[in-house]
Amino acid sequence: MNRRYAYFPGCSAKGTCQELDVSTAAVANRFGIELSPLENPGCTGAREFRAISELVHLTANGRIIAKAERMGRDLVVVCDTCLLNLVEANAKLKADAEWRRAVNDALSAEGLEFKGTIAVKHFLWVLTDDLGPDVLRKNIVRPLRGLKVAPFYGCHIQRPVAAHGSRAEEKPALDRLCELLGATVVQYEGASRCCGFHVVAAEEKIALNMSGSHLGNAKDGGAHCVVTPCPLCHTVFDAYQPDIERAKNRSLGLPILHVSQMVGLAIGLSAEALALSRHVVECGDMLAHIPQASGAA
Amino acid sequence: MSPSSKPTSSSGTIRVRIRRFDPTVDAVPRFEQFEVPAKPLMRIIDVLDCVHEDLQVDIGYRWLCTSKKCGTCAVKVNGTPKLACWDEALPDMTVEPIDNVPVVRDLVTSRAEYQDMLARVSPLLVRKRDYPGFPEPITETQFASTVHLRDCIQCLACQSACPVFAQKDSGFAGPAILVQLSDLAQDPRDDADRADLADRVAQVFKCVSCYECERVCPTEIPIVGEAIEPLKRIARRSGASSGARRARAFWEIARDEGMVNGAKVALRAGKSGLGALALGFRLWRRGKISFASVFGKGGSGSDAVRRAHQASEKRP
Amino acid sequence: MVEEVEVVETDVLVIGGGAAGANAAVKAADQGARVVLVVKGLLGKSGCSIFASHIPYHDISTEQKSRDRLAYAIRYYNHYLTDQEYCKRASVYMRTEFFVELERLGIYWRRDGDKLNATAARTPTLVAHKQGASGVLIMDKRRRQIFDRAIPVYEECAVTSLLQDNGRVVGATVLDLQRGRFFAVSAKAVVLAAGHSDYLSTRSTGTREQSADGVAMAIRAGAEVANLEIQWWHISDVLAPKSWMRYHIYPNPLMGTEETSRVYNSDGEMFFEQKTHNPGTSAPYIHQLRLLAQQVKAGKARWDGGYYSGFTHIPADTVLKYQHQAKIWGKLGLDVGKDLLECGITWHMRQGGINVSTERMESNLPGLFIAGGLGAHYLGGVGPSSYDGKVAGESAAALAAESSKPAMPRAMLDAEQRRVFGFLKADSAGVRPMAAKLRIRELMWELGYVKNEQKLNAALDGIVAVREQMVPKFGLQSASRAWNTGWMDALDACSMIDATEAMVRSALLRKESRGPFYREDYPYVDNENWLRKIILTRDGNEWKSRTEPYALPYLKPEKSREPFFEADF
Repeated sequence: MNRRYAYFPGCSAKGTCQELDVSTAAVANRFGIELSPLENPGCTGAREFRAISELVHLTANGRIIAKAERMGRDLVVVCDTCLLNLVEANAKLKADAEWRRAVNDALSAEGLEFKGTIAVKHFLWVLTDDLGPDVLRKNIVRPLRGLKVAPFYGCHIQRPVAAHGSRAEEKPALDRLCELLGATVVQYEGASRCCGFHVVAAEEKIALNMSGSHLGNAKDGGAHCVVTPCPLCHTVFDAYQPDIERAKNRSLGLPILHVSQMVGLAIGLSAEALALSRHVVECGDMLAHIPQASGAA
Repeated sequence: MSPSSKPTSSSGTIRVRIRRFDPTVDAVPRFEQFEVPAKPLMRIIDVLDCVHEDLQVDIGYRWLCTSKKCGTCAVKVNGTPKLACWDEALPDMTVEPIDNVPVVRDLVTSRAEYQDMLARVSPLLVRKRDYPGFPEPITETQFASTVHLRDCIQCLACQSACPVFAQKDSGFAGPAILVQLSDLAQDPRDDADRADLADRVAQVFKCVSCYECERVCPTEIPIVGEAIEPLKRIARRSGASSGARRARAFWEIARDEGMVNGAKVALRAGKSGLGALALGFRLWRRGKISFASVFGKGGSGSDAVRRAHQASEKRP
Repeated sequence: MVEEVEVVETDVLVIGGGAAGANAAVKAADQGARVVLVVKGLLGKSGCSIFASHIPYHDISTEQKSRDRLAYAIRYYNHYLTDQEYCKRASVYMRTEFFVELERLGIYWRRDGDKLNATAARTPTLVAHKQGASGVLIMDKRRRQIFDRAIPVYEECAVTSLLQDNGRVVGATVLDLQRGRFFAVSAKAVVLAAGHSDYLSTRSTGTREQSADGVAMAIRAGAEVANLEIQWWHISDVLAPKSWMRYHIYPNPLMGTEETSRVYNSDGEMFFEQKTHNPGTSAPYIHQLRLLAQQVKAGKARWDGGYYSGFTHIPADTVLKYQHQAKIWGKLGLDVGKDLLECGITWHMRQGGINVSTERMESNLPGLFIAGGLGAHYLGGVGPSSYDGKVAGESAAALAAESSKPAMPRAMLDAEQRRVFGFLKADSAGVRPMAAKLRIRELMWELGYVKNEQKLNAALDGIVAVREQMVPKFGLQSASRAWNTGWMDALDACSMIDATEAMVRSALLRKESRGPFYREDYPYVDNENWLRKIILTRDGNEWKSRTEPYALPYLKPEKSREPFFEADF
């Protein structure tokens, strides 16, 4: 059965983290999941639109949701921060008729309307919930046995509780996915903490202190790699890792995987198909820990 | 009708490990374990009271109002900040002082640094217009956006959980201060320059939006959405900090092009120097950024969103 | 051991960080006085002022309305044991200054749309907080006012004694509880505002640091105390968890409605609802107590449980909208619309206190001013206490302005230092001071609401036994000076012993029943003989007593004598 979703990759997956877009498409393709990108979707606003005005936040996000509604599909995202913006706007616009009217007034010029008919999902949830563990398990051709993975959740897929409800307990879900794929989960202090992305450009030291301590703990726990559902966390951990190593005065060499890349490895996709070479931190040593992978890759 | 109540039978014992530390005597903290009989509906503070009153051990802790008003009994229980008088006792718990404050003894922490910072952000309403007399003509609607902020009891659980405040040299005032400042900044009667206080003194743009503060707030205040983001809104236009500059750059690009490119934001916000160059080179080498993505136009954006931006500029 | 003691010099020393003390400090400073504020807990966080919820906002614009207001204060809240002229002045202050000053400072008194959200009931009240609590926000503003004026505040510092020079109060000795530093404050005038909510009974609304220090230190200094026998007990306080005994299920009308909570006995029969049982008055507490006493007598309730209170008869939304206590149901896993909470009585506050002349809030000791619930002149409350703070602060500043620097009574200072440090010894075989505190609370709980001569004498013997047999054997777990709870308990216990002894002695003298004071051996309100102030003083170990009639310029009781359970006040 084909699963069809509207797809909003966001600025990272289309910019600095194109490997996320590439690997998501590859994994979706393998599972017969159809992800249809929205046309000219714009931006969910990171942390900025909501600090400009509720109107900007709700218009920008309502517009993205309305585009998915026009396709009649649930909306899939691959970024924690985009997820939170869209989930919150979706709930607010469903509940508040006054805001819905204001946003729809603005959207009417583009022939769009927010109706409140769809759900917003992270691609991780599509895999763990919509697809489910049985289908995932059946497709594993290279169990990640031998690979010690430190899951890093990111803030906006778990918090605030008001937005995510029972989803706030996302931690076990990602742990379970790693285990299902055969990997060993590294328990470490910091897995559900903040990477610091939203200040890294302006206050690099603050962000690197935070991310450095999480990566250090993961490394101390014996991790071969970190996996994250958020490209923003990925950016801090991967692109800034040389800076983190300098700030913390220790070598880390921890590859940072997107969830889709980790799943892709287990279902037999090649390093090329998953664009692992686009990372700043080399993935070669990590791959050597997956016995079947070293021969097959 | 017959009165109903939660079952009041409860059995067994509560095992509690309390972090003991007397800075005038001890070199390092130690944990001491106690067992107290479990009683119905026990709160954390009931267990501490038992240790002090029944076992007659001189643990240091605060007990003031014991009814979620004074905000002085926050402790960490199994790693998470809790209000001792409000949250349920667990059968097996480790109780420690909250983080990011000096310890006076055992679970008692100093509030002096918090109060000093509060004094620095001008904590009283500043009226430059004449007070019109009681009752002044204000409405419930004008105070609706801050209704949750007035739930704050300044227990400092949020400061304990904040990863930026935890960095001693960050300069960040912490979420509890921002809640107080935001309540004043959104007050229609206030005439102080809260934008400058928020940006320069409280350094609101150093908030990473991780929502850890909200996670632990015993009074369930939406700290990020209702305190911090409104403050950023107020401080964004005039703020001189690197965070304020970055927020402005992001906003301009998002408004004009629809999509945002991180490197372009950084460049426009004035990020430069060797570190930025090294980062840029690193990203370019892996195909993560290109000349076009940084210097070209990202997209055409949306008229609807642009109009929302324009409307927001008129109506801050 | 006597160490060199630092002396902090000031014009006005204010002791106590609640509504009265904080306002006294602000107003004295505004008169130009140098002020030092010493608070046993934390300024605006300890004590009972933060417990204030709905604050009476009486219309006094007509003669009749003003009289109603006075009836509320004089008859129902003070049972005629008050200074009626003071009540009148305080009511004017409340109407014209209290709310105004706080609003000017930035308190947002809740509106309903654009109108003040006052209860429609007989006693209109205002609230500052969305769910009915006001004290937290009021005290937060006061705290900021004090920081704003840069008034030196010594928090978590316990005053252990008043210093006197030739009878005049010239300062106090202080123990910094955080660090164990002992110091003195030398002042030209002292405002004592230590509150009226004491933790002197096993079940009590007062919190642990509230050990009646103000009463005890005043007695030791020779001040007159009055009507100490009268305590307010509340019946609708949560039974369990124990620490929540100070959560109170409000008997007054819910904000914006005429609905009130109900109280049920163990058979599920409703025995109290204000709008049914007590519609004419605005002080249901006294009435509640008498009805509960009858239920206890009938075996349908205990003082500590077996009866229940709640709001199951009205829609949950109505309660959740304005009552902060509604949240406690949720936190206990209960539904405020469906479940009742088991209750017990608590010793809520002391009505009597230090004898005060209210014009300038002076005690009988020169240099010592009294403000708030600590005084015997009025029951207390955040509004009248603020008024007292203003009067006492301004009077103290005026006295300081005309006084020269006082001498420091060295011998007294040294003796007090020896007393305080005498307790600081580790002794594993010693009696823990907490045991003495628990015993005092147990004695007062056993004495309880229903008093008689025999029970009072037994309580007195018990208190004397604690003083004579436990205190000399005090030994602490550690001799650390940093936040040594054992050391604090030792000092608290001494205060509690002195204060409860005076309370019991005063109760033995009052041969009638009145308000919340019930002697089953004198079960009638005796206005003919006992509309009088009972005044005690202690000189060394000698107690002296006398009584004084009250002036009744505005309001007199109708009957000279009536059965206690038939009186409505």
